[in-house]
Formats: sequence, structure tokens, C-alpha cells
Amino acid sequence: MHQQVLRIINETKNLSLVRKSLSKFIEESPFPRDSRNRIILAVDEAIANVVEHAYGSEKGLIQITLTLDDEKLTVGVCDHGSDFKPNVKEDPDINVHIRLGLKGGLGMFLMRRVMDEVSYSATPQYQNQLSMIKFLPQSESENS
Amino acid sequence: MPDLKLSSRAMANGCFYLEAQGFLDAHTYEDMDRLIQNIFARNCYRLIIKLERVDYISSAGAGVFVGAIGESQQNGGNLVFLSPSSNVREVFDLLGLSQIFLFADTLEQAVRSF
Repeated sequence: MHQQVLRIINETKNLSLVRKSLSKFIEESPFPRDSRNRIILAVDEAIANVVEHAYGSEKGLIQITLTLDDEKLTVGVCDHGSDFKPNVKEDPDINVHIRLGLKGGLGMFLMRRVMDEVSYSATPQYQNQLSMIKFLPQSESENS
Repeated sequence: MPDLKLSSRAMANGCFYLEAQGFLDAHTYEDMDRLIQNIFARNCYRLIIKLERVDYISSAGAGVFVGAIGESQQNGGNLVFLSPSSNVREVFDLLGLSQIFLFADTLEQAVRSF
């Protein structure tokens, strides 16, 4: 098992740093390149959501835990911010977004499209904890 | 180099040409949004947007175009994406935008799309 913990302040300028660290973390994994790019997108979306919603205008810490084992990549995103439960089930209607000129609300949809499992929970240590799992290619075929 | 580099110019045929380079994410999308709104404020709604050198786009970046295309079309214009990078195309695909947005491989083709 391989694990890395990243801690960032909730500023959007830190998103590219996380993308770079994650890219390096999964570089040698069995995920093909296009899959790695999609995983980076999903994690970026998760952290961008926390940056935008968790702490309001206050500064706050976001902890990202990356764990790679023989079966899967697990990404945990934790914060101490306000209770934030995004809609993890309903898909947005892109035509409604266009008609109403809506710019946001697409990140969770991308996270769910890319990752195999996405869940939210509250823990004693952290206020919000998002967990995302992507199974390695061979595990995926065994599961299907 | 900044995370996102933007350039734009009015074209002789009433179109506006925008070119982006770098990352179009939650950190930079407001720059693109501001640029598009400034162009709309000049009553120009036919935008050709070159994304060939955009290495990364997130939903925040794509959302700028989702939010802008309706206003553009309501005013007789549209957004045409010129040579988007494979990373951009993939995110547009994931969001279902590839069936909605117009794409072109050359500037001439883009101009003819309106």
C-alpha cells in the first residue's frame, strides 16, 4: 500500500499544486493515461467544492489523503468547515443550465462519472469527509 | 508564466477571436468569464474560442461557456471552439457538451459556422 497526505489552505491557487502531486502519485499506477487524467479532474472538482463552500470567506485547512493498494485508489478530502452535503445523486440537465445561464453545479456530476464510488460523511475528527474510490483496471473487470 | 493567458481581438467580419493558454480551472475561470462578458457588452455575440493550448479544464472552466452560450444564441450569435485540446474535448464529452457546442479545425471553418 502506498499513501500520501497533502494539506492545503482553501485557496484556489493551490488546486494546481494538488493536481501536480496527484499526477505524480498515480504516475506509476496501473491506471492508463486517460484514466489518470479523469481521476485528476474528479479530485480537482472535489477540492474546488470544498474551497468554495466549506469555510465561507475564512481561511481553513483541507487534508487530502491518497491511498493506492492492489485493488483501488482511495481519495479522502477532509475539512473542518460548515456542514456541506452536496447533491450526490441527481444528474444536472445541461440544457437547463444553458437555458438559465447557470455556470456552476457540474463538479459533482463529473466526480460521479469518473469515480466508481463517491460518498460523504461527518467524522469526529473532521466536519466533512468526502471519500472517492477508483478501482484499478483489472479489479474493474473482475467486478463486472 | 501565469496559470491562464488570454488574448482576444475583434475580427473584420463581426466575430470576436479569443485564445486561451494554460489552466482553465476554479482559480482562473473568472478571467475568462470577465473577458466574455466584456465582449458581450460590446454587442458582439459571435465568439471563436481557441482552446488548443489549454492543458487543463475543470467544470468551472467549462461552466463559463455553458453560462455564456445561451446569451450568445439569444442575441443571434454562438460560441465556436477552435481546435480544443484533447483534455478539453474529454471534459466536454463527459459533460455532454460535445453534442451542443460547435467545433472547428480552422479559423475559416469557424467563421463559416455562424
